[in-house]
Amino acid sequence: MPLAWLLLVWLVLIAILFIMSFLTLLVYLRFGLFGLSTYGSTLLFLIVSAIMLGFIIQYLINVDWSQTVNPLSPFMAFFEV
Amino acid sequence: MFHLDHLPNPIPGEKLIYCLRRHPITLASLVICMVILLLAPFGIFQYLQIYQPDLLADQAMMTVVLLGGSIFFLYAWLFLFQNFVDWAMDLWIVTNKRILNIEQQGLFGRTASELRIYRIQDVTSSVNGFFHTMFDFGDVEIQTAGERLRFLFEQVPHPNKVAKMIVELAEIDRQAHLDEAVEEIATGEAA
Repeated sequence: MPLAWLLLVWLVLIAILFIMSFLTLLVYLRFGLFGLSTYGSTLLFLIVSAIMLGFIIQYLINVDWSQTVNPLSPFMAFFEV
Repeated sequence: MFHLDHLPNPIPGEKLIYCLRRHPITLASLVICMVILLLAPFGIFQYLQIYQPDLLADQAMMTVVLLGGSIFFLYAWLFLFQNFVDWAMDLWIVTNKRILNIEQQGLFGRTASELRIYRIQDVTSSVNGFFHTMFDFGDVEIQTAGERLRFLFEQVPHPNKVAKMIVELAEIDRQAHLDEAVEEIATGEAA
């Protein structure tokens, strides 16, 4: 399986995550209680998400996507005699 | 956003007494489970580094592990945040004139109820359980004469103190209403 296919799946899942995060933040900031806790928790959520995404994207930039991979190969080792 | 200084349908002379949420300790079990889930990708990565270093030496497999681990972590983080939002948006607001009960149901459901405080007939507080007793949180049940017969404050801090305050406020507001009614009758008779 080309590694790029897994990247596509990952990107689709990230897009869904963005949509769900956007909707959650929209509801929270629109109907939530005005105050430091609301803004603080929102910032914490965004910062941690951004940090994780930043680390991953930094790694993914340097990956050779033309490689092929068998994602199940580690599990196949359990069945080898 | 919802401002405590500007409650909907304000009543003249209204003052905020309490803005209550469930006690933060009620989030503890969720937080513990989610911390374990959030740390799981890192734990698995460490395990693979120690016991399966050949697997991670291959850039393709390392990429697969990182893609899977990152997605797992981000969705778990979002799930934790959504549950926090659900907790944070359940509010019980007590003023000297009314009680507002705002409950978030899921992401797109919200119920808001309002009760004039003079309509309260009975208030009961209950603290049941070891952690409830240690951290002093429990339920406050309010029986009303209104359309909605019962308001329930769930797992709020200091329920006995809250119940006592609501009873006092109800007495004061009922007396104020009685005085107004007597004055109106007296004014009507004079006219």
